[in-house]
Amino acid sequence: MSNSKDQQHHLEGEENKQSHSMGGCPGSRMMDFSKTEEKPGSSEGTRPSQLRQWPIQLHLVGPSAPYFQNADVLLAADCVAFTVGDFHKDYLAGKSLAIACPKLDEDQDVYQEKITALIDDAKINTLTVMTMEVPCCGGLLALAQAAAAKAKRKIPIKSIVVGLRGTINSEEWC
Amino acid sequence: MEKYLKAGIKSTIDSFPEVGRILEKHGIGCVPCTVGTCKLEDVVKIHALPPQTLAELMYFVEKAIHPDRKIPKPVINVAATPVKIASKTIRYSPPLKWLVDEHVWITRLLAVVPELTRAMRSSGKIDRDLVLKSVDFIRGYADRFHHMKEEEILFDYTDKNADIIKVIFQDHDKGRGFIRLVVEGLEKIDLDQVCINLENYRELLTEHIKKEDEVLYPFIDRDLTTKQIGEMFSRFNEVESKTSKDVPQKYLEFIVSIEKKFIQKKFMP
Repeated sequence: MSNSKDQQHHLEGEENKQSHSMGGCPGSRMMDFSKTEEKPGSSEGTRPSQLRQWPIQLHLVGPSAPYFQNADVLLAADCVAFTVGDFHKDYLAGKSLAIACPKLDEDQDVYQEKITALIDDAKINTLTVMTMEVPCCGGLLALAQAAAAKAKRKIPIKSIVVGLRGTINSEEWC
Repeated sequence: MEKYLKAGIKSTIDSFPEVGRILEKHGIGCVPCTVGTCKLEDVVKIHALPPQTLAELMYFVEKAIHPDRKIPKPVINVAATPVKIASKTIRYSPPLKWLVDEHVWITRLLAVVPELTRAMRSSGKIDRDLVLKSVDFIRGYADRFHHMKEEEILFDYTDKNADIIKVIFQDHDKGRGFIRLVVEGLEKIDLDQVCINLENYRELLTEHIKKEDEVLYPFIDRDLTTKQIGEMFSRFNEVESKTSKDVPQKYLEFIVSIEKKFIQKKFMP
């Protein structure tokens, strides 16, 4: 290994060390997974999308939309679909979707009202809230629970927490 | 061995008591079951034991039934077997949790029964008012409110012909029979008949609730889809919305009052 490469490697190491040790917001902390070995699993063939509606962003969807009526709804944090390899097959299939970011999105009071309307007016069957493990993402579950507490109907709510490497850290009914 | 896997568990335990002890050691409490028609293979499947525990259990059971046979000890490659370590705390889906919470109220009445019967036996008199109120709770809350949710909703989501479901139905019928005898005892003013059947009901329901909380509900929960969980929860809500709000409240207040009379009093200085 040449000196310059050694130096580069050393600098990269320092950068990684800094990005991990300096703390700060875990939701925005830099991490690089590119050098990890390839995971087992098939990369061949294509999989159909399981999305059965448009739009999907929580500000854009309407609780009166036909695809929400009596549906099992998945409320996913924006980053979830990019993190879970088999998101469509394992989590989106059979569900109607809304996505949101509890950290960056504005007017989250509207989100709460919409979720309450989904429960009371669209009479959704269940609500699954899928978030990342970073602390700020917990806000989405809290928002959904506050909306459910305001609703007249009671429905089962499930929380699924996704690790940064796409693993499922927990899956439980609230 | 195939013959015993497909035989009712009670008859196998009666013939080979050691099998009962082995099952108990593995957390499978079939010994006190009054019906015992579940097949050994279903009993084992229902408990979803980790592969290594299951292999060991079957090895010991086979040894107990055929002590003269040379049965190879199971060798399990633990590293290659995805062993799911079962949590001691059972986590239920919301509709099953609902039923478990109702069990808590029923169990609270069952806890008072020995005190109630003891008090009646020592006074030599039937406390007609309390017995009637207890019967009303059992019929109105435990049976109509709770067992009906199981029989008319929950069991739609499983195989109603499965042995364990038949056992649950039999328990419900048997419980109703004990309560009929309690009422008959009241009419005849037969203290023994009232006390014995209240005690029989207590014994039956205590085992029954344990069976449901620890075995049946987790077994049903494992195969439920999210859609089914939502549907079942909604059907439970529908049933409750048809009942006047003060009905369950009336029963819960009765439990608090009967506990105050018998249990708290007992521990008060």
